Amino acid sequence: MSQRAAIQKVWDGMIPIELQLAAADAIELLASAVLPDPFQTFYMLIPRINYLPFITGRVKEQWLDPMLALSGVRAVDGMTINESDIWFEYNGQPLRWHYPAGLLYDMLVSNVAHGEPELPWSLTLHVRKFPVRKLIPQPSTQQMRDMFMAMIKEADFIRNGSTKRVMDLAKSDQMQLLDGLEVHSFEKYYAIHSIIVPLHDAKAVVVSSGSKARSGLPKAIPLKFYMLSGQEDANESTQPDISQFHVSQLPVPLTKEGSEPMTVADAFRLSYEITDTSGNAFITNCACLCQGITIPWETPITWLTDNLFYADCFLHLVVVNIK
Amino acid sequence: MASDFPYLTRSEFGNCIEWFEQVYGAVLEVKVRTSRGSHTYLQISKPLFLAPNDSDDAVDSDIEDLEDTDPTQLDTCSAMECGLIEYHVVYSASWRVPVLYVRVHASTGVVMDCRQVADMLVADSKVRGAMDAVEFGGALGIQDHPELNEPFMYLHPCHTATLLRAVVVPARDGRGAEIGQRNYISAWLSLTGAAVGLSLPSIPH
Repeated sequence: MSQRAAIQKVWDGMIPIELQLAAADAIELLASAVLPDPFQTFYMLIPRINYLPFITGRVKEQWLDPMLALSGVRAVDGMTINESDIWFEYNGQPLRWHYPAGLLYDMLVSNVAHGEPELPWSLTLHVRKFPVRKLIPQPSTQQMRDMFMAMIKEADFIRNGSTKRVMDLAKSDQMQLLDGLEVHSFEKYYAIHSIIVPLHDAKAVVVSSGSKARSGLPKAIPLKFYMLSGQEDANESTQPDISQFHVSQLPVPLTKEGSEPMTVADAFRLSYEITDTSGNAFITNCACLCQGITIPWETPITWLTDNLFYADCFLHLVVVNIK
Repeated sequence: MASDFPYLTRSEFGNCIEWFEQVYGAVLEVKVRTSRGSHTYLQISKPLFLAPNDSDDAVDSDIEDLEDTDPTQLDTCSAMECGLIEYHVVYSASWRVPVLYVRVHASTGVVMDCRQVADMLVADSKVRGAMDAVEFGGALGIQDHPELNEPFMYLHPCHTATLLRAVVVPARDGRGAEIGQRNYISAWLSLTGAAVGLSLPSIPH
């Protein structure tokens, strides 16, 4: 499989979700906790690498609006739904809308590493009482686009020591990148991504460590680990709570001292400042998930970032307890 | 002195904020805090005042916003302490410089709207103009606080290093590390503070 085909496969990865409307909201809008047929449940596929604010519009247009229209509810008396009031919940937890959907799934759903994870992913949709202390308020496609650009610039800085590549893009190219993400068009997105992150020969990492600048290799890889605090005490059936995740962000060099390739295990040790060999329990006790795939701990970081990057050019790695 | 000025390592940053707390502790509400990852960051608190004309402007210009606001609250707020501003100086491993986070607690709760916060904190229209001109939503954004993992407003750090390099000359008088680290945060705040209404008081001798 070519590099591009592999990257497109990741781009095309979807999670089937099953949405139900929060009972309290249903009662307020429709005077009934039971929704009319055929609107009781809404099914859709959401791209793993995409973000909730970009699918909210579809949820409203294809489910909520027709449902309200059919029920004869009109926009008087405050019975409206604003997209910025919409939020998603899984098992009592509001979902952070600025996290890619696939990352949320890998963090919160049990058994993704092995066993049978929940599919479709059963979520509750809310249109009232936005949890302002827990979620960034006023989600919108514009806010999501702005936040995404901040992430892409940060990734550019980590890789290249400046934000030049992103800032030098023509305005139309920046818009194409964002449009490609928003409508989930690989062609549009990847054309610009290839400018920000040019392809390189992976073998060159080891051979030309002295001439990184000329070979176009990045200085460091943008990477984040997500791990439940007290992971050592948790067992597989413990319900993950998103606020208890510790997020570790560290630019990771491509090689260790002695120019050996940096592996995922090395990056983990670096991020959590594990210096002695007795701290290696994580290798047997934990699995590393990226894009829903369990990644062997000895995988080189450069390979991982070339193939399993998220749209914001970061690697988002979830560490789960498997013992 | 920082080994790679204007960039800092995390441990150099830790030293810089300890120095800042020592130097400014008597004149500012400032504390070095430790987070769960044993990282340190700086917390500075200031009371929030809304000047009388600020609340008048709010009455006249933002009619929609007032539907949810009790007008009498604005009147009583006019010359009083109306809340609290929390500033956090947090190290960014990505940008290798400090990043300024801010959270405004007003009578209505935490204010999570960037324009509203800029209205409350930035009096200087030139500064405000420069902030609004920054692409992709302006100079103030919202993201999860790297240590607390909760939403906070923050100042985009992309230009920090350039500003620091241009304005501040690192100490090279042979006394080295202590002097550079002693002044780093105050120098950095002299460049970034105006965008969030944080100015440093003079230190008593």
